[in-house]
Amino acid sequence: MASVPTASQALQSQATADYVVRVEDLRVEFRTSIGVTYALNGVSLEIPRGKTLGVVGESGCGKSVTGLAILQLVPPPGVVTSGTIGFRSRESRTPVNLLEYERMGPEMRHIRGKSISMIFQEPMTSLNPVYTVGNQISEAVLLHQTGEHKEAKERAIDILRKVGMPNPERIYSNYPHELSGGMRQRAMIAMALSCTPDLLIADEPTTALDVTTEANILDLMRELQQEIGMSIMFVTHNLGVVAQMCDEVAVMYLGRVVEQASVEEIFYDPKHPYTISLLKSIPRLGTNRKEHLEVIRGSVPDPYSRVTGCPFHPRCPSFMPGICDTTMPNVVYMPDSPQHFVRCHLYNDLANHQAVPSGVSNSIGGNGQ
Amino acid sequence: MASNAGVFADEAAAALEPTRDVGRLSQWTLMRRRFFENKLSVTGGIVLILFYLVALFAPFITPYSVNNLDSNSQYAAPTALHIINGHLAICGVKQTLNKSNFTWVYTTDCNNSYPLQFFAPGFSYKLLWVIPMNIHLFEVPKGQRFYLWGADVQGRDVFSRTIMGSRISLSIGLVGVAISVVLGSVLGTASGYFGGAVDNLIQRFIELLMSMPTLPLWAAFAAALPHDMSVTKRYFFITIILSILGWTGLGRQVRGKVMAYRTLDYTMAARLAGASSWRIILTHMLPNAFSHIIVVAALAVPATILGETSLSFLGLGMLPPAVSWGVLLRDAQQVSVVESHLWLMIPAVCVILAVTCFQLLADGFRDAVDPYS
Amino acid sequence: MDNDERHAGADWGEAMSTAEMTIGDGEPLPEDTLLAVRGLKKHFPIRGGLLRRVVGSVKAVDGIDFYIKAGETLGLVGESGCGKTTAGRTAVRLYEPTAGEVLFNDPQMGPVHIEHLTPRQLRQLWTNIQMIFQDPFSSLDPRMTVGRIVAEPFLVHKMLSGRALQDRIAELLTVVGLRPEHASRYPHAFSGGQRQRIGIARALAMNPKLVICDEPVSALDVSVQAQVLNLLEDLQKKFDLTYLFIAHDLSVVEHICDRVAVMYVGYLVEMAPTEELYHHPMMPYTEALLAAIPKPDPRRRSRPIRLPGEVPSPANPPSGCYFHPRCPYAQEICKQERPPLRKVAPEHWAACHFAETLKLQGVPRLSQLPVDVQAAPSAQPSTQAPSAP
Repeated sequence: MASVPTASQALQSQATADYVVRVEDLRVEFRTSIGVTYALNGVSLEIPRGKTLGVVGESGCGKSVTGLAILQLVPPPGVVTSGTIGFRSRESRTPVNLLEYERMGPEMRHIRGKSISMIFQEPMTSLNPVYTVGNQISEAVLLHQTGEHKEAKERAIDILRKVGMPNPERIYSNYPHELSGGMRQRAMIAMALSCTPDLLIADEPTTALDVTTEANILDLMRELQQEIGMSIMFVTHNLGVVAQMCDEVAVMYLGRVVEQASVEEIFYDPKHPYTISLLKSIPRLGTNRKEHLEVIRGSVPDPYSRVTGCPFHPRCPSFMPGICDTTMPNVVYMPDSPQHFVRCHLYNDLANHQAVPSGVSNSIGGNGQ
Repeated sequence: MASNAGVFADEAAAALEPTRDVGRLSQWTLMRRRFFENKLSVTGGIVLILFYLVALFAPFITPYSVNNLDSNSQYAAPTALHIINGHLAICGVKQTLNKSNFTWVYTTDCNNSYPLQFFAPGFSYKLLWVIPMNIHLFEVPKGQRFYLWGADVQGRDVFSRTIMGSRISLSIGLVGVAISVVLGSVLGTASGYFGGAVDNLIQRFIELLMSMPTLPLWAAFAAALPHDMSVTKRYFFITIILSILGWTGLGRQVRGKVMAYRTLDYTMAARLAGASSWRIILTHMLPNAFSHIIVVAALAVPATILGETSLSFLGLGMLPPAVSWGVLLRDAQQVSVVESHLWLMIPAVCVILAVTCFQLLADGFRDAVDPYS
Repeated sequence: MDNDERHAGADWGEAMSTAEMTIGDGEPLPEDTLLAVRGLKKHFPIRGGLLRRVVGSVKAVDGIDFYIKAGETLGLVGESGCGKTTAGRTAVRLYEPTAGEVLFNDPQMGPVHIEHLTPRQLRQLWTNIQMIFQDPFSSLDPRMTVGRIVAEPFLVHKMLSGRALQDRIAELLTVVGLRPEHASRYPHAFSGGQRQRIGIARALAMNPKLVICDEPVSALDVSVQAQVLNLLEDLQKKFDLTYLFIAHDLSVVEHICDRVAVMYVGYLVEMAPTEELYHHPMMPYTEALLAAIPKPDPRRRSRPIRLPGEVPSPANPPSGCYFHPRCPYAQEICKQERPPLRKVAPEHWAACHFAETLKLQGVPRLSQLPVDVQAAPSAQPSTQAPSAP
């Protein structure tokens, strides 16, 4: 076991592709009066440049918190207790650790306004109801791009047209509540994309929408991604959306990434029992009609309780007594596909055959607190 | 997973989770826990309990009856307490007339000290309106006067009067709010549950009442009461006047809650179970609204206390010989009096303290009931 | 509960023989119909002004016809605001219908016209019609223990008490996969899936015939959703239940339903057996809906017809066929005339002027998919997870 690389060593050694954000060993706690809940217990993942990383998991797995933590927007009483978030912008490829910045400091504000944007499930949380849609977009443009009011307005209308608004000049002077759900989502995307960010964090952006609208919004996001060349971190619980939308997928369970791989591998060659079970438990069109769906026993444990060993072991179909309930599994890379890793004791053998990492390091700053 | 039984057994195991002990606790228990976490509110609650205990045992605590006049002790300053020979004691007071401006000058003489006598006999009273007694918490020897908080213009003990005054002032808050709660809950529930014309009528009526300035309306009602009413009758009517306007806010809150509960699925489920409107109101809506009613009521108590105090202060509420904090504060209406006899403001301190404590308590209730608001 | 009152309803057989109750353009009802709805309307008034006068109405449900056969599951699907929830609730008179007829073949009272029942008869009827709700949080009274929640119907109807009641509660909890000792706990101790089971236990308490499942799994996590779907299927077999399954997730609906009815802005636009509807839709809206489902197969990434615009508001619907502004096949007639729901094939109803002429695309069956997609482990339900080395 001694030769098994730790998560962060492994990530550093394996990372060869260009990334925008690399999260390492991120831990977030919520300290409430009832007790401490551990939202993230060492999340490590990498968002490839120009591609879409899907982050999937059930409620309470920490997928949304990961997105918020990248922007240092974890709401109180949540605190980031350890980890690094390496960010490489388009211009300067040298990574900076975002956690070293002051939460509300000028650097972080600059990052939030210009380099990393976020959209949410409920657009009204990020649209201010007392300003017109156009006002809010041109405000963002004025802050980060140009000082000219007229130019800002033109840019805003341009962006609104880009996100498929039928009548951008009219929408510009509409208030958010005058728009329908899908339109609001478009307005929020327009705002998020107004300064061509390096990374868009989309937190369940289509969950509240109807399927036909959802399909349109997904189309739109794909088109805009190609045009701007940005990366997307797509947080969702919907495996269908992941399959349609993402290039890479990170599967989370109880505050950890249990498997990350390309979308092909996740759907056609999943390794972690949780991923496998999750895929089998969804009803799929044109297939297993009226048959029993495969279920994962039990439900996600409440966040106050801590499970020993692998957090999935009480529900795992491949549970190995004596191993899974005692030891936390390490990250294991698949020998035949270097970007595919899984956190499961079933693959310990593979890990032992792997070469000890040579310590190649394009490491990023020290541990932020 | 072949047979049904197998499936059920399997899924029975599946559905089981180590449920923590909170599952056995009712909402009330959880609320109580949350409340006791709020130290400030608990402190407020304890102070209020003390206040009400004092009011309950007021005659026992007071050394003098409220109308015990002493023309020799006009505006007597608070008597200083000393520790002499290990006992709490007061010094003898000598009263001399300053002949140049004809005012009484008091000089203390600690060579003649009188120790306080605890549990000593004094004037007769009925403990808790039933048990005849004459034992008091403390007394001073006959012939000496002990004014812990000074005396008023007629030489009456401000301490005794404030303590006795708390009975009316503190109880009127509770009784008044109790009437408001009944009115507000009944009308609010009717308004919220039945909606339509009933709702329209009640809401317009509430708006009408709310649009009127409170104090003048109270004053108008109170002024209509005859001056020669007995103290008890007057108390009764003043309470009614205060609660007639007090229920409106509560009525609205209850209506809002009931309307929200009406759209909840468990109400729908209760209807499907065959429950009648009455049953739904009594078993689902009122128990759920109850905690909110308590919060609103707790917030309304200080307002009612202030209402009584204001009316009495203006001479429209309780009238002498009844004592309440408002009545006592009438004595402190003139700045000149207050300037030289600051102790007459002590009832005001009591009002502030009681009202603050009620607000702290109500805040605690609210946070306990609905931690997310 | 005397016999006279129980049989006070209209006579089902007579209704059938006089063809009083038909569906769509005059089709008679199948023999084993449990619930039939004709011309059902529910309009919610829009009030405005100082006196809150009615200034208009939202036509949430505007004249729909459907029937449910005993023992089957009818899916009612559509996008948010299409009126599917209102339709379900109005059909059993949880909401007073604005117009329309509803026939229910009550096992005790016989065939009854639900719209004519007195409040007392209605309460009796509801012992045979129950509901499972979407939101596992608002559907359970937080002040009551689980046992008390499940016991409610027995207490209301004064049917069981004491030991017998406790036993029945324990039985019901066991049936839905909970433990009898859970009866003394409060809902807040349970997860979403467990709460949904409590709701199911309550619905089953009086041995109903018809259960209206209003989005029963859409608030649940993926893994728990499968548990609840399996449970619903098992219970249907075990207790011979009939489901009206209201949902927006078409994958779930395909999985659990025998027949599916599609709603769009207050109208029923298509109704057919599941296979038929998914593989041969006859209404362009259904086709678009099926195409829009995000399929959990990266190799089935498709970018077919995308509907322009959005669902119109039922307060201000377009002219003619409500779908025409978004329909890729719309013709002049679609703008002027609203197509009625008519029978276009056996057991297949559609509301489209061109149902027969359009060759619409459905979802391919698994056997029609490329081999590599079929090979995905996620497409094979019975394989086991990798075993320990």
